[in-house]
Amino acid sequence: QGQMPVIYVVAENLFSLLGKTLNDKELEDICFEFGLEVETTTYKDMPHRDIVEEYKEDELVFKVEVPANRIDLLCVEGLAEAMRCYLQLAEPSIFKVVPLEKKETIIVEESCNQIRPFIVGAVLRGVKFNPKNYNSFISLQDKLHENYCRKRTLVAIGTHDLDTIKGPITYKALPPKEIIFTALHQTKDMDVTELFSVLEKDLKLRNYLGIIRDSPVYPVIYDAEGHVLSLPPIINGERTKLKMTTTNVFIESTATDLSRAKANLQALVCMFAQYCEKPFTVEPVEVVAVDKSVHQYPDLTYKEMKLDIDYAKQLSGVDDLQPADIQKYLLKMGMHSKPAEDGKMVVEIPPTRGDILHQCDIIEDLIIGYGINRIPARLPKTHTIGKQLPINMFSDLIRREFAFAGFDECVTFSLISKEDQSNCFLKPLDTKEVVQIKNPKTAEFQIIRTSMLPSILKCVSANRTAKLPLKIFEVNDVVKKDPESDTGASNQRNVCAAFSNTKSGLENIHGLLDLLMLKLKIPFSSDNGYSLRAAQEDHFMKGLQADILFHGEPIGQMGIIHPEVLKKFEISYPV
Amino acid sequence: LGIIMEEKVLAILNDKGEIEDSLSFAKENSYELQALDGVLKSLVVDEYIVLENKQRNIIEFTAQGSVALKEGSPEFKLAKMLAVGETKPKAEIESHFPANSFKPVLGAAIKNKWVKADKDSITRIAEDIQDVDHQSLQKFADNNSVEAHEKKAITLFTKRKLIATRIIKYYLVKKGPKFRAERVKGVADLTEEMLKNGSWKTTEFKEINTNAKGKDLVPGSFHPLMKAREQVKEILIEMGFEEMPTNRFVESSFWNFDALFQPQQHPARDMHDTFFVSDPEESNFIPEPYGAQVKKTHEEGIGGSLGYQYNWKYSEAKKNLLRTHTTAVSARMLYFLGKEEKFTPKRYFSIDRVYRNETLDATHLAEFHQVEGLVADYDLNIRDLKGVISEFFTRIGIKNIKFKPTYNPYTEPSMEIYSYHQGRDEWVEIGNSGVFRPEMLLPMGLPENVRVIAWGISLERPVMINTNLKNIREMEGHKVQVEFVKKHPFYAPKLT
Repeated sequence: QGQMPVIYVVAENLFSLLGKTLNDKELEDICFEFGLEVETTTYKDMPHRDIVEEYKEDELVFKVEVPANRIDLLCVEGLAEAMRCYLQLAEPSIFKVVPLEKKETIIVEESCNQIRPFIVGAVLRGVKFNPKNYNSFISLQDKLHENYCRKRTLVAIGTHDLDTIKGPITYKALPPKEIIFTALHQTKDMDVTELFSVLEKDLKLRNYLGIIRDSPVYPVIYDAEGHVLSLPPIINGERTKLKMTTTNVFIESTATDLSRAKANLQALVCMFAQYCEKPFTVEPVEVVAVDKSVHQYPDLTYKEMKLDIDYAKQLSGVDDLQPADIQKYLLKMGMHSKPAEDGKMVVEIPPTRGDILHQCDIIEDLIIGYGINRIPARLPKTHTIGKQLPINMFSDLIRREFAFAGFDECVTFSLISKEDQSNCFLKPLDTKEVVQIKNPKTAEFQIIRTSMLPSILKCVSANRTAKLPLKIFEVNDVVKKDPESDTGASNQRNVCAAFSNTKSGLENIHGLLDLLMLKLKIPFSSDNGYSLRAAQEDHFMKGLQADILFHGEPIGQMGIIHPEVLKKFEISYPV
Repeated sequence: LGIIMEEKVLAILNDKGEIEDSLSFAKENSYELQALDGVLKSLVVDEYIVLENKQRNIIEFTAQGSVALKEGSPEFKLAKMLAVGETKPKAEIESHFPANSFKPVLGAAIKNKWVKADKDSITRIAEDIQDVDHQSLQKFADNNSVEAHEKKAITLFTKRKLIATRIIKYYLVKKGPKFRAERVKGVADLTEEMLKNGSWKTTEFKEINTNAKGKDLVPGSFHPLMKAREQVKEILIEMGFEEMPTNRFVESSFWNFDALFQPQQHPARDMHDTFFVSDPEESNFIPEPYGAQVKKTHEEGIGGSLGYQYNWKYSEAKKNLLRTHTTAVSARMLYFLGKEEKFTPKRYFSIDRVYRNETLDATHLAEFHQVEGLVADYDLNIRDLKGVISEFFTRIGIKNIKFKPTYNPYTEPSMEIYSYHQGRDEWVEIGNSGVFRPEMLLPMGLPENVRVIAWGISLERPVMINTNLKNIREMEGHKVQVEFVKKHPFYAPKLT
């Protein structure tokens, strides 16, 4: 459910960061147990190959599917860090924010509240970029933008060369006409209205323009000299752009969801702090909020969470867990832990693990560290009594009788097009009855059927080469609007059968109805059973149709389908 | 006509003992091959005759070859267009020949020293010319058997595209064990009349044909998917599971996502993955105080959880959609269970339609069937989950399974289920499972040590694997052929 993000890592890069080479099978098995899916491919087949590094076309590349909650695994650095711990090749890296006297400062103006209220930031000092890690840094931002940041709507990241910026920095929102700067890869100054018309042609960036386009003010970040750093969440300025030669990296990240922006920044800086002059350290940035409160980012504290050992045993099914085992298995998963005085364990949650919300998340990691396939199976001890739903049991009995009567069962789709509906009933859509879909990708899925007849006719049409007579039926749910239901719509179980031959043979359908009623012990009587009454529907032939009544109330219809309807469904035999 | 043919075949066999070549036989008598074939097969069934498959190589004339056979070889025709010593423009002569065929013809005439040619003109040099090629072609026409001719000659004329060789198949017809000069047709059916008058005692019956198939019956049939549904349902009921009322395709975001602790910003709630409903657009009821509990859980957490720390909105929760999983119904059922005064352990299941607004391909439909099972009891854990899953899969015929950790927003721990596929020699994903998160269960008021384990598979997946179909539309939807439905086998349990 929801696509799992996929990353491509060059095998040689992974193994050099890992400090160990694995063969394909070993890697696949390890990743399986860890919860990652790996396929081997080559550089040639890697999408979005990046700008800088040249690899051989047949260079071995791993395609890794990463769980959507593990943003710390979206780059080769993070993957290697996790695997180093899991394979017990190294202890988890410890990330730190270095205390600074004078920090870079971002001042937030009130206008931001109208569009994108939050900003966080960080500095990576003395970074040594090479083509490999530079590529990885750029592509990690892409992955974060696409997944965790919800295509930049919730959070957007901008990275800059700190040495081109003069602080303090201001974050505000202005009308687009008033923002003029040279955007990344552009050659001249433009106001943002003009810039948007240029970016409209950019296959990637045009997807994000809609996030702010209709707002009267657009978010923008300026340095002290009035240069634009970026126009979040769209594009950075050319002047402050990150280069391979950049050594001091300024990261800003604007957001509509502050907690997500913080977690996102933490993951990003931790992955790349290893390349800093003082590895695994990050310099803080100060943000002065609208209310003049001062906040420091990123927050790389290791939050402590208590783990109840009994609960861990209970949930994992590993009965003989000792504190030392817990320590060992959690260390494999990148977490330090120690026994606390109250008999519980204290687990230090790394700042990269924003996905850990509850003890049960730690226990899942514990289970992975232990090995999910090592846990023995057992059957739950409480006994319960099986039971089927009366409506489904009833449906099955009716299906049986229809098949015994020589009819073949269909399973058709419940979503149809408005055209199917109007082709079938020769009248406009009854919006009082029909449930409509807001965002169908194609016309096939515009509405939910209120009758199975359109689907059955489509089925007859698709079976034009089948042996005659064609006898088909379906027992399934249709959906109608229903003010009694909390959602305003409810299902209704229907049956529909069709007979098609070189001549119409309505008596076959009539006979099927009689058979059904016979089996249901419903007599042919207008008072206390079923009866027929001449009907006048456009989609049946005149005088050759009837309403089916139960206790005098209409419950269905039968008739010879009108030739106009047959024509619309491209059916050449009577139905 | 069939009877005449039959009489002729039997007469010749009676006379000569065999018919050497069924093709020549047909040609001599001007019989249609197909009709003769039918007569011979019917005689084989009654063991009057036996057939031996034979083949031979024959020579056939191409269209060009047929013309040459009739009118003489083209190079002869060319030379004849000139008097001895006469010179004509090349273009003029070429115009009498079909396009692109002239070059080899001129070559042959030059080789025979009949003519000489320069860039633009042709002159006849030979006085006396004999059309040797035509004589060769005539020999092929007289005897079309490949063996009767020199290999070199065949190769030469094949290259010149005047003839081609072809393998033809025919029968050598011999007497069978029950051969008679006259056919006695047996009677196929025992009739009521025979029983009455006793004539069955003297009637010669046609023996049963153990090689033929019986009559095509015209039964009604169940759809393969519904057969699978029935079997899975029976297995789950045997295992003590109770069916949930899943007959509600339209669901609110609240029950489909929020109740399952799926944050309102989760990608699955994107328009790209989920069908939203424009009419009726919103759900009009979220039960309270449960709704407020869910809000609090998303925003601040519950039972030691941190929550997602964002502003949870009723307006988002009220949006109607087509349910993306039957877990929406499971959530309702667990909510009702939580409201009961005293908790009783439950096993629930459902098999019903779910919807995904995904990109469609050969294995993905916008709507498909989900099988879901869940167990709610005190102190359940991973071991119970693995046990129930193993038992279920063993019963549907899948024995070799293993688990892979995964991520689902509403289960923790979560495991994907893999089974070993013999044919493909690899592990394939067949389902998903997990323990429902406390953030999902606690707001419902379920006791703290009640845990719920659940798993889900698609009903289509095992049927697709079993039927070896490549495209799911051949199995589900209006395009399915009734012939496929009629002929689809059932899955028999092993009767050892």
